[in-house]
Amino acid sequence: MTFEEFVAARLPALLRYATVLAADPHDADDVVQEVLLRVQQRWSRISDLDAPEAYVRRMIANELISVRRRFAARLRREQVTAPQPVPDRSDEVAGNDALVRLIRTLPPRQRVVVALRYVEDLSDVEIATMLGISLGTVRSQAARALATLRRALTPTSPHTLEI
Amino acid sequence: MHETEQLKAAFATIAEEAPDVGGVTAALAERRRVASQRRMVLRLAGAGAAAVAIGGGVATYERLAGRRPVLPEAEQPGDAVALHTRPAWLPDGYTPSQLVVAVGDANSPEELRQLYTARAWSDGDGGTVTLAELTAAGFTPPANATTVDVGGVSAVLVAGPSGTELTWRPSGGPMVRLQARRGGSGDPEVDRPLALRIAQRLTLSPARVVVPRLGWLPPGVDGSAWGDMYVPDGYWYAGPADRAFTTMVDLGPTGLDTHADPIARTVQVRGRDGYVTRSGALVIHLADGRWLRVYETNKDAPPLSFDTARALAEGLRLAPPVDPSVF
Repeated sequence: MTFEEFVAARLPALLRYATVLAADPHDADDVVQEVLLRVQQRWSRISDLDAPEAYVRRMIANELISVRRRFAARLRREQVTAPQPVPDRSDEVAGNDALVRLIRTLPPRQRVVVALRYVEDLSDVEIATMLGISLGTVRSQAARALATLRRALTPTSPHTLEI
Repeated sequence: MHETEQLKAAFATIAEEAPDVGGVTAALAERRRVASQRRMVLRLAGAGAAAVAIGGGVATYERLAGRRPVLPEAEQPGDAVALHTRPAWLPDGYTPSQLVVAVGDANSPEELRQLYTARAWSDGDGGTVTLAELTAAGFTPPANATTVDVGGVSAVLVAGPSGTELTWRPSGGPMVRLQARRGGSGDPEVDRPLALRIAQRLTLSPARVVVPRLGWLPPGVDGSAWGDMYVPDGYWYAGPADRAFTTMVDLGPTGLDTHADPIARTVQVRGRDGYVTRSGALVIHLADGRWLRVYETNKDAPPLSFDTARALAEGLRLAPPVDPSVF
C-alpha cells in the first residue's frame, strides 16, 4: 500500500481518533497533519510493519501528550483564538454535555488514557505499551481522570468504573 | 445508563466534531510538491555528473559554503545560462513541467562538476519527457546500451522501466540526453518509438535564461554542487545539492499560508517589507510583486534562525520568471 492509498483509506478514521483523544478538532487537525508529514518521510519503513496504522495511532497519541505539543496548543489558543464562553445548557442533555465539558478540561495524558481505555477498548497493559509509560502510571492517570468525571456521571447503575 | 456507556456517549459526541480531511490532505500535497521539486533538483544534479565523463571549457562557479553574509547589490541578477536545443514535436497533452539548471553532484569530485540544463514536460498522468543539455564532452555508455541512428548521428539508447533514454550530440549542438516515458506504460516497446520520434525532431534553438543563485550558505554546507529549478506556475527554487541543507529558498507569485503558520512579526530585509512566521519562515515582498521565501522543509530540523534566513534572503541573486518560449 502506498502512503497516498493509506491516507485516502484511513485519514477520516485517524482524524476521528485524534479528535477523541484531543477533545479538540483543531488540535486533532494539527496533530494528524504533523504526524502524517513525519510518516510520509518514513513510509517505506512504516509500511513494512505488521500494523502500520497502529504505529501511526501510537504516534498521534504520543504527540498529543508531548510537552512540546501542549505548549504549542496553549500558545495557539492564547494568541489566535480568544476563549469562547461556554453556554449554560444545564437544562438540556445535562449529563452528556457536562461530561463532555469535563473531558475537555482533563490534562492531556489523563484524557488520552481514558479515551484509549473506553473508546479504543485497549487494556491498561496495551495503553502502557503504546504510551511508553508504566502500568502504574496508566492506572493512576485513569483513576484521577475518573474521579474528575464522576462529578458528571449519573449513578444509575450499580456497576462502577474500574480504576 | 452504565458509566462506561455514558463515557462512550460523551466521547462519541466529541468524535462528531472531527475535522474534514481537507486541511490535512492539502498540507500533505504541499509537502509532496516541495519534496518532489527538491528531489528533482538533486536527482538531476546527480544524473548529470554520473552520465558524463570528464569534459572541459565549462563555466566555473565560486565555492559558496561557509562564506559570511554579505549584502549584494540590490536586486543583482543571477547567472545567464544558454540553452541550445528544443523539441519541435511532443505528443499531445504534454506541457512544460520544469526547467532545471544544475552543476554537478555533491558526491562527485569537484573537477567533474559540470553545468547542465534540463527541461521536462509531463502529461499529468505519469508520462514525462526530459531533455538535458550536458556541457561535458565525453560519455561512457552503460553495459546495457545499444546504438541507434538519430538524424544521421549515432545515439546511445538505454531502455528501462523508467523510460527510454537517448544520448547523442546533434550536429552543431551540445551533447543531449532525452528521456521519454508514456504514463503507466513501463514498456520499452511503447517508450522507445516515442523517444526516437522526439529525438529525430529536435532542433537547434538558442535561448538564454537567467537563474537565481544563492550568495551565502551556512557554514558546513557544500555549495559547490547546486541546482535551480523553475516550474511554470512561476516559482524558482534555488539550493545546493548537499542533502544536509533542507531549507527552501524560492521566488514566486505568493507568500506563505499564514493561516497554517501565522505571522509572528514584520521585518525589513533587502530594503523590502516582509514578515517572519511563527515557525521561523522569512517572506519578503519584492518590488516586482513576487515573494522571496526562506523556510525549513524538514520538520525534525532545528528551527530556522532569523539570522540564517536573512543571510540566505539577502545573498540571493534574483531571476525573473522564465519566458515560456524556452520550453
